[in-house]
Amino acid sequence: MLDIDAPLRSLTPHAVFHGDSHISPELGAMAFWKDYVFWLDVRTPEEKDHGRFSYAYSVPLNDLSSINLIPPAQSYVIPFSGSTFRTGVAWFWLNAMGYQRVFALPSPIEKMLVKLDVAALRERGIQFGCCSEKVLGEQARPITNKESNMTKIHEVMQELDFEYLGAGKHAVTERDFLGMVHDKNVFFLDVRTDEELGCSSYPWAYHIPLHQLPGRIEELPKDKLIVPFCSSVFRASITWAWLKGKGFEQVKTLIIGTETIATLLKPASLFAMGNSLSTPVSRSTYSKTPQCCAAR
Amino acid sequence: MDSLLSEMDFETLGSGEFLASPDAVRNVIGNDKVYVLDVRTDVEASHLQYPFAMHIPLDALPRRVEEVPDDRMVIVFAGTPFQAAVGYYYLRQAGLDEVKTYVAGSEALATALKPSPLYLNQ
Repeated sequence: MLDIDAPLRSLTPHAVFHGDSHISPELGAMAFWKDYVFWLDVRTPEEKDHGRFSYAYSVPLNDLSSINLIPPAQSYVIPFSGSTFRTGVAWFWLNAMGYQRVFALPSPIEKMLVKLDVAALRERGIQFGCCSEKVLGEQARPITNKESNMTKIHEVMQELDFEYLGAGKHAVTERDFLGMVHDKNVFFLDVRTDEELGCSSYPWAYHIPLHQLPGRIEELPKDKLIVPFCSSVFRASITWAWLKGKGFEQVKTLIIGTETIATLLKPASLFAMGNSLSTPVSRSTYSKTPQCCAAR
Repeated sequence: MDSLLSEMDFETLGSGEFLASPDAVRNVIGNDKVYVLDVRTDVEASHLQYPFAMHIPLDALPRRVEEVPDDRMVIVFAGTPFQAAVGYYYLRQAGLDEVKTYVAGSEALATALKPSPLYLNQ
């Protein structure tokens, strides 16, 4: 049963701080060859033509909502791709569908592969490609009447093909970011936790922690471009899929992390943008003194 | 002024005793014994705020230096190492002894303020 609020509600501050939705490259390398771990490659067929991962089970992201995966009981499913955005959307979908034990590998797969202990694998007689014997069942997923009011997210998922992703229709990049900070038609949505906001905050953004979004949807404007962001890109991507699934037409994910934002908010780049930039559009709702701000 | 520069020999610079790392800044959040001073410009502060730091732009520091406590360690912080170093020098010259500079840049601080590093603080 599809519940598109469930993935957001599950990402409580506790889950975020413990990294419950993720697997690190180090842990991924340790779990790489286990037969209860399924690597789910959600890249496009076009990318696969340029490099295949034979140990992974492949379902392009735009096909993911059309099938039912049947992972064996007690197994783990680890979606990955070439970008945090797509990995996040895949994670969102699998959790919305009620799959258990789904952990995203938000970093590039190469980061995990370099941590593989090749000598240890060889000792065990394991080579790349060994995992193709593992069976991850799959069947067509009929859209039931029960879900008919949920078909929006299904349509959104189907759009995410090579062309859509390649053209960057889903994303706000480093190049566009600063101009949009001063654009009244853009609504930046900060989905980080209260704790993170207490350490660094952005006056040009409206803050709603990710897990509270389902209950606070009426605070979001229908007539503006909504740009969710977080400290990396993972939670922002989940927000993107959720908003699109809720029928918001104008949504783009900020696909830069807070490091790049920090670079763009230094004197050199702010100055290069022009001299009227001292007052970004204020969308901040955060007024109480943050927790970690000592009495000063 | 001269004596301040004469302190800065190879040994002192090499030991990094003037410096504060991103992790050090993260670790002192909420610690009343350390005063984090943000010397970025107003334009920068209107785009990105650090609630754990006191914000006094470099150009306002001469007239507001009294606000900086002299009984606590001060970490001078900015988006670029240059601004922070200028702030450091000014405070030392103004008679403050326990001053450190954050020179790693705001990118490294952004990394240090993500959920998993923040979790380590608790």
